[in-house]
Amino acid sequence: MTLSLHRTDRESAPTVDALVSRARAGDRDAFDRLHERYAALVHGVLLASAPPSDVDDLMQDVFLAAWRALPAGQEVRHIGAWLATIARNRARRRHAREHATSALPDDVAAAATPASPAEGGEILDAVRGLPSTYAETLALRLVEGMTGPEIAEWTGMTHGSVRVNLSRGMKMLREALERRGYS
Amino acid sequence: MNDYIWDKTGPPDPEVTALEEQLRQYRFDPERARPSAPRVGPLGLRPAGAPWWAAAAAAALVTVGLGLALHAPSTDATPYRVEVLEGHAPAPAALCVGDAVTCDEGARTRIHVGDIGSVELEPKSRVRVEPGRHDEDAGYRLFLERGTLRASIFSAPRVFQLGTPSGIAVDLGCVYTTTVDDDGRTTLRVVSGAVSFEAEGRRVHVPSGAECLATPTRGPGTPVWSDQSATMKGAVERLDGPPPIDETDLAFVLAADDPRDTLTWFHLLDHSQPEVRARALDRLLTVVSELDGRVDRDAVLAGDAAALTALRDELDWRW
Repeated sequence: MTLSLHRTDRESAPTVDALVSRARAGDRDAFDRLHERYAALVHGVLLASAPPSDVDDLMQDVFLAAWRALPAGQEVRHIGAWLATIARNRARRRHAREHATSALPDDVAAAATPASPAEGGEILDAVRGLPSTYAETLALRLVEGMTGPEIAEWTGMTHGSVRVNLSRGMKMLREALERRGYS
Repeated sequence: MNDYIWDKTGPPDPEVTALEEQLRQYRFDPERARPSAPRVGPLGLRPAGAPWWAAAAAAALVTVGLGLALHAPSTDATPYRVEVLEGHAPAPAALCVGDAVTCDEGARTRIHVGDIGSVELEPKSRVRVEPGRHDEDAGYRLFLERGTLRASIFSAPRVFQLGTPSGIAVDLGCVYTTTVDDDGRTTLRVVSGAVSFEAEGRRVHVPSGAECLATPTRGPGTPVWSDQSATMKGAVERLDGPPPIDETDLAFVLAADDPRDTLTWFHLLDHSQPEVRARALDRLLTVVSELDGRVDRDAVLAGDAAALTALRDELDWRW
């Protein structure tokens, strides 16, 4: 997937509000387009709190829940924030149910080997170990490839909040990886 | 903060680009994430390549007769194919109505269900093939006589149904585990998607992460979240039992304040005791304050189907 999937042609594409209204009326094409727009957002939010192996299943749950709720009259002020909320709930329930192990204890790897570059799995584990606000923003930026302004737009956060999350999140991620013995 | 981490302008930051490189493998890929799309039924109302969720969710909005996004039940005389995964499981390679698969201790089998998915049978389990119910568009029906079965089905809702001694699990597009013990008590746990567990006019919605205990005499019980405490599950099971109810159990079940517990409280609206129904509704309306003024209390307590459906539609996105 490339960034162009996030950047729709704003002058000709229907607005998000229009798509939500149409989806609420049962228009599946409109919901399909909402799915295209927000799938990466939902995917990133889920990756921030659930193992990658669970994410595809959880995405099903999230969009099914949204599909049922919209025509039922569910009020949605910001569709991206709403989908992210559903995603967090689903991930939290799955995590509690499966008692997913967290990443390695911070002090284990540090004593084992000299600092070495971390691989994707270890980095993602470290991201998931951060406070959820930072983990989600980092997942959207580093995994899904969204820019800060895009994250703000899709999630409904202010630019300032996203900046803080990126800055503090990167600092905490750096420290977490160093504690695990990675450079 | 450097520009690159913010909006990818300016010179690339080596630390950030290294992280991006390592994490790119986890990026959302719409083609990889989409499972094999179920074949569109004879009405062909959904274009090929449409997202998987459209099939699974269509029945929520479809009226009988339109048949949108229905998967045509297979006309193949032997739509079930058996694959022995482990141990000894005597069964024909292709199953017909009336055939059964029995897994001895240490045996596991996978039964491929047409082209809509598969079920896996655990050791010490037995399942048989039932005739399809084409009037309900249930082209595939199995009956779990005992043991544990895990279903991974991707089709239009209600196309696949799993019977048990305590009720029928109607697949709504999902992955779930069903266990039948020697007394016919059935525990249904849903891993992904949702199942409608039905018997004798009672229909229980079991979403992902929840479970439902059913008995041959009572049918499906009140669903609870699988990660609930044993105390909560025990209290719910006792509330589902014969009267009189224990006030302690009811108070415990209603004491939670997590909006997701509305799943359990909603299904208590079907309880035989009016007091249980009234207190469950009161608790629902207290915790979900935005429902205030939008619920016809009398109609819900009277069991009005439309009122209950409207209430469930307000709640179930929380599940």
